[in-house]
Amino acid sequence: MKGLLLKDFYVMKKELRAFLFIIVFFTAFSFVGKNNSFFLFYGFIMIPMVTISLISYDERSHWDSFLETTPISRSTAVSEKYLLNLLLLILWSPVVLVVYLVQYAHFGSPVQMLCICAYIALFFPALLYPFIFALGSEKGRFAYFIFIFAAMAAIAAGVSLMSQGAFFISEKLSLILLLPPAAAYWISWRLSVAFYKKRSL
Amino acid sequence: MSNAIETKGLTKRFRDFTLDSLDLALPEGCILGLIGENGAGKTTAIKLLLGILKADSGSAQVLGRDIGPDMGELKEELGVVLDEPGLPEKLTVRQLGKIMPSIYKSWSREDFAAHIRRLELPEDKPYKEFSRGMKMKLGLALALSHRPRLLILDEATSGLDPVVRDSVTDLLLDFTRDEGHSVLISSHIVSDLEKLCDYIAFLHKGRLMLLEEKDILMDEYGLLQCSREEAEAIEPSAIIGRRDNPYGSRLIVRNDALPKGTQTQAVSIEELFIFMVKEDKG
Repeated sequence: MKGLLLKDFYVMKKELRAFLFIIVFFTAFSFVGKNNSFFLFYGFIMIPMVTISLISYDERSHWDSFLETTPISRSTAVSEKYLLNLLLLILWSPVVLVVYLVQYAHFGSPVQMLCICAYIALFFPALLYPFIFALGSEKGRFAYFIFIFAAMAAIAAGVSLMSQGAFFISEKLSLILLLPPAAAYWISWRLSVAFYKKRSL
Repeated sequence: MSNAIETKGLTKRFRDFTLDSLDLALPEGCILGLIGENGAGKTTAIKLLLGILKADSGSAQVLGRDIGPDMGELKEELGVVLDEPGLPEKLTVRQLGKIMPSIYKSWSREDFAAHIRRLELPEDKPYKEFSRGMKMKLGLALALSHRPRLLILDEATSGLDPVVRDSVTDLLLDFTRDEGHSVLISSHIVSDLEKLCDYIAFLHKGRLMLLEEKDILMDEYGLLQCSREEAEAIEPSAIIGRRDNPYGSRLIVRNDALPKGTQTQAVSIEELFIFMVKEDKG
């Protein structure tokens, strides 16, 4: 697992600088004014796409076939991508938190904010990744459109809630509401492992 | 002597191709060359042995263990180089050297460094800038650095220049100096395997046509050049393949089925393979 994470780190460093630039640029945009909260969540949409780009890169370079010749199981290969996505989301969260505290703190508590972020950051990769692991990044591409559409709609809904100050849910309830996206991510992981084990490479 | 690889009736059916009832045996400490034209089933056979594909019927044992879905422990003892080594283009040898110890428990940094030095590979050049020969040499260095007992090479020597092929040959011969080490190497280029292998297997259209020790093969078969009339007089069961030309006939024959005193020339593995394939009506 550590070796796979290290390999993805090297690939990201070389191949995916554009993603980092886009994420930083749009998040910075949300920092500029108080009405650009839409872009506050942009990083949480893009990070799962980084992971998909890494899967696609693995397929193009036949790294997935190489792993088949090593002791690394398919289950470990899938788990590493889910873990990497989580790590990137966690690493990015402090940046979003700082922007939130500086510009959007009047929209609710950090816990409520965390709840919105979890929905955006976990639900969509949870929906998308099983398609990618079942069909490959090329054939599973149609799922991107579902993903983008659903993600944009969810961000719009989140922003609307924030701007209306409609944080009618209590902090305690926000924490409980963290469970569904976490459960969806876990179920998605198990499904992806099952699908990837059956896929012929 | 036990077998490093043993398959019995190994079968895999696809819509337009079947690897049919493969019976293969590679004795420990030996090199087996799996020869076949493109699409003969070599890669399918190797993927079955690695558990990448699931057989429809038959059985296979690798290093004495049944192949199956969970081969993690077994793969610690296998070194594999596929036709396309499958390494990320932007990675360098140095970076791969840091990644691999987390992939193989028995990875040896010293062995890897020694192979890289011996094969004269640059440590900081991205993989995508490597030539085909350099890519294959790196594949071999990676396959050998966790001290495997069995090396499986799929078309790994195809397209290499003679100098690189020679260093690959040296590396493989060094590897099999240890009696517990074995090699399965597939190629459609027969001359690649002729010098290297102890055993030869011919695969054609998904069927194993022949599996024999190379020296026995060279003794058993011969090339006979004669007139057409002389060719007609030879017992048909002695003839493996025949080609007629305006000047006479060229026959690949079974030496022991010829009349005593008949002189034949040594036949090359390549000639034998081509004759057998052309004669095959299957």
